[in-house]
Amino acid sequence: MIEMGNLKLLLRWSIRDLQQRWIQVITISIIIALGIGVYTGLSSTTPWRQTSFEESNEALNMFDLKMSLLTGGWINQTDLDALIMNLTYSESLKGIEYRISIPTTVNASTVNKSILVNGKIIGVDMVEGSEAVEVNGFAITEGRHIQSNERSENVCLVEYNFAQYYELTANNQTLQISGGYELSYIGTVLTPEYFMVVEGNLIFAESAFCALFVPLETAQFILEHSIGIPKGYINEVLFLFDEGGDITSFAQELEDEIETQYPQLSIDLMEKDEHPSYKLQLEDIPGDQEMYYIFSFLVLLIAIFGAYNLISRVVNSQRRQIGINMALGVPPRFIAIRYFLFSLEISLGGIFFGYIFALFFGHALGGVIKELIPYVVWREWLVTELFIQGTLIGIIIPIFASFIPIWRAIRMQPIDAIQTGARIGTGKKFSPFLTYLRLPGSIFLQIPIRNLTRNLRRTLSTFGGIALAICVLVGVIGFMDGADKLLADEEALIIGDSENRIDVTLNNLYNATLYPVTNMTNHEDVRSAVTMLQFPVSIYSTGKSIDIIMRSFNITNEIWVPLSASELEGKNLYKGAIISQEAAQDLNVKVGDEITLEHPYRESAFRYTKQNTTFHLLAIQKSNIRFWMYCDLTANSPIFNMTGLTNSLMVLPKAGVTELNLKESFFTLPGYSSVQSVTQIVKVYEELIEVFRSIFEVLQYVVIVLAVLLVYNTTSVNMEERTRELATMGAFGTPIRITSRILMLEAFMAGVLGSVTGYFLLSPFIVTVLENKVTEAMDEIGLTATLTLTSLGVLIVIGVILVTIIPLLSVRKLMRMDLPSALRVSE
Amino acid sequence: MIELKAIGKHYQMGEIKVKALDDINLEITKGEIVVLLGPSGSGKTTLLNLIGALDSPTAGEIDINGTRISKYKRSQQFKFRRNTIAFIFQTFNLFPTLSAFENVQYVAELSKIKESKKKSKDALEAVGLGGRIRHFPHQLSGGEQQRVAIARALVKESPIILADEPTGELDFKTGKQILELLVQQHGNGTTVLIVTHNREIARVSNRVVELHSGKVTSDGPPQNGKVPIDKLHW
Repeated sequence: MIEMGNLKLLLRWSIRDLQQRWIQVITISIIIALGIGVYTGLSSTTPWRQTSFEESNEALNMFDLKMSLLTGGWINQTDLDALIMNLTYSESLKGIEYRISIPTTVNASTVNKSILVNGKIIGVDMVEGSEAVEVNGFAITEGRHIQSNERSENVCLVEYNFAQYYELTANNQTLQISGGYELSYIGTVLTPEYFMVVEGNLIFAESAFCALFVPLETAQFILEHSIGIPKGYINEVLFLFDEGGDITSFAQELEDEIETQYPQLSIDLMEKDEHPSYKLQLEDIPGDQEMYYIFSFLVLLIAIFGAYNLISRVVNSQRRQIGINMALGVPPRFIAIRYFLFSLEISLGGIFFGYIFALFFGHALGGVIKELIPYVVWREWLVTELFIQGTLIGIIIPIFASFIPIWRAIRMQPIDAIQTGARIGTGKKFSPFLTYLRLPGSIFLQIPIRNLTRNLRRTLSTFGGIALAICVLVGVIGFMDGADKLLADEEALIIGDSENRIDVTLNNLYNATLYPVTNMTNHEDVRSAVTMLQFPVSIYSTGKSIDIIMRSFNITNEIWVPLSASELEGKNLYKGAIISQEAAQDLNVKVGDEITLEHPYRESAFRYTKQNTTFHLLAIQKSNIRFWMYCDLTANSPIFNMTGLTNSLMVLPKAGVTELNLKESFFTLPGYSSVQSVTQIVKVYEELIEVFRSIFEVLQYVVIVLAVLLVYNTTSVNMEERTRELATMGAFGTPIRITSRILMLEAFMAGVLGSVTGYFLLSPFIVTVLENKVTEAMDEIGLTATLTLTSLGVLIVIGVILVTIIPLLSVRKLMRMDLPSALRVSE
Repeated sequence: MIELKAIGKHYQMGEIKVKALDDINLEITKGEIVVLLGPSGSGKTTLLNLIGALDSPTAGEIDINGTRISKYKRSQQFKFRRNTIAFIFQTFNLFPTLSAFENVQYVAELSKIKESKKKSKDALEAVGLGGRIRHFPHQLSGGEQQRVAIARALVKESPIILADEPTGELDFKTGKQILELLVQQHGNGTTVLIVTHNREIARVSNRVVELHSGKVTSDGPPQNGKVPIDKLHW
């Protein structure tokens, strides 16, 4: 049992150890702190995000059930209300919102910027003003609400993410929409459906999509004048239920009743959890946390290597003192306690800095999330359990790291520990063969390699740290490069030989050979145009399914084809589909295999049903994005009962006509919905990948800092441990430049071996893990890690060159070394 | 020729000024063997360090072969040591990760000795370690390690060998062998300075400079006269 007096002495002694090596101690503390900081900081954002998500949706009453009429379907609001109120399960309804949702194009151009994007007009009942909207309520972030007396005015609220993206402010600016209607922009609004803008298959689509909220009566007026739907009709209803309301039974009853009373109409019912934006936000939270765990685990692993390496060196460099203590009869546990106290002091530093880093990383990532998904309620707090976990990690790492070296030191015979010079660290136990390893060249080349082999365990822990850092960097930089390559490849594939090609979307299905389609295809700005059918479908095969956009057009047209004519020669185009290699991989199908297509079938002008048709896989396109499916229009349009109809165009503008020119020309044309560049999809994925990139970049810098600290401390402890050797070299007149070169060569070898190990042995593992996580998060793209030559160069700079030059930081110490004293130093 | 004129070396330890050496005047001729004798703290190692340009005096001048080394800058001191001085330390100070041969080769290559490998091997053979050249320090006895250290000093053929308590870590028999090797070098025309606190060992030389509290208290033949090494007893 250790007495209090002794404990105080040990504490004082360990504090003196700490004072003596304060730079190393702070460095180890920072290494540990980075591990704690990354773990606690990143993980804190998970409960913050979950709470903010729940509270924001609750605050604005996110719908529980949404009913939408399929394209072209309209229903009288009064009749529908009566139908709903007569339903048995309507008693559990807490709120209903009848809405109109119509696609449009929005011209939000300002003096400095042309902004013409696809959008949606959402007419909402604002009899009591937009403030009182019951379901999917509005939070004004800037400007003002629509007042009850404005319920038939041409005023609008602009969705927040879009306004932010284009830096628009609510200053009564006039926005134009398709058909030449004008709306006054009076407020910017956050609403649950658009916390994250998901439109079609596009995530973070705010750059390309604008939702405009207008009074229901205003929307009905536009509707009446653009496609002749009389006032009083709607095409969307949002339901909010009381706690415990039976949503499933209500939905079933509603569907049955609509089927009975309106057989010509098709409806789609979607529960809150199925809403793409809501679902993505909800599923992303645990998915991202897993990613944080992986990152934290890797950073902590590097921290453990670093701390073990350094603490063991510190303890080892005090071996003589330990021996003297043992020779004086001090019990080993007493000696051990001094060093454990030393480790504990390091851990206190680690926890202190870790807390600061945790706040920094948490706040930084929280800021990124908040910007990406602007919840109306955002909560940040100190997550106690995570901080306790972080504290425990901070204590465990140095204690764990010091256990083995302390145990080894106190297990030694005192006389062995006291011995100096030739018997220190010869590595005779672990590297008997390496001891004799000799490189060709001068003796100065032998010293670094012998130093590396003198204690294999210790050297391996340095390699380990560098190797881990390099493998994490390979994973992180590899994914950033992989993303760049993927986007560049996809852009090239989409563009093909038709660089200026533009996609035009129509607001309905039209006869392809008549007005208003011919109005566009024969427009003076258009060189040639191909009519298309385009709608979302689901593909099933071998028990797997994917959602995709189907594009049906003449696949031997002159503007652009997914595959060359020779690749399609002799193939049966009827029920033949072309999908991307990513889709084929996900469905586990190859050319010739059968796939089931769940697609819309046009029963009548206002009624669509879903049907399944078996297609064969005609060809696989070399695309790593699972976004499009192509099939021939002439051969397949009867399958959809849409022969001769079109809802989109592939347009090749005349020379000199830009995307913006075409938008401006088509803007007022009847039937027109939107114009966008064919590479828009690439831009959207670029933004999606940006989220990962920002986290990867932070991780990249953390790892670089860790690697630098690790090598700096290793060099510094090396120098301390070899003081006498360095002094002897000095006594024989070895110039500082040769000594520095020897130290640098040793660091170079450690850097090369560590980098090679990290790159070839460890990185395949980390790349696989990250690939799996990225696939889970963005399963529609096949993102693989690829390193460009530049990135490889960066890795070499970090893993080898940076590591090699770090000993130069010790030159000053070498130059100032007190040789007479150092020659007598025995520890 | 080594000339020390009014050499002083002071250290500041907190508020106390410690005079390690005070007004030392010495002349040592080429090829002479001189023993610096004195108890612990007398200043003999400090004096050796000053002659070896490991340190600079706070007062006085040191001239070696007509060159004033006491005013040398640090880089000049490195060059001087590399070309002129060979050290032998009490605790050998061999490089633990280099073999006996490599320890010697290191100094040979550093001093740009031609045929460094052959000369390193010759030096080890000269000290009787021809059969153990591939052994590492931890595989050698204390005497063998000190002989490697002597071979390391011999290989560079420096005009001055400075040996600080060269037998301090060795048994009597091995110590005598080491002294034998040092005396041999003196016979070859090398100036040898040996630091010791052992009065008996001092009898290997005709000239013993005795120091006490940083001052030279005597300079001349040993008190009980010089004796051949095989007659020494300590």
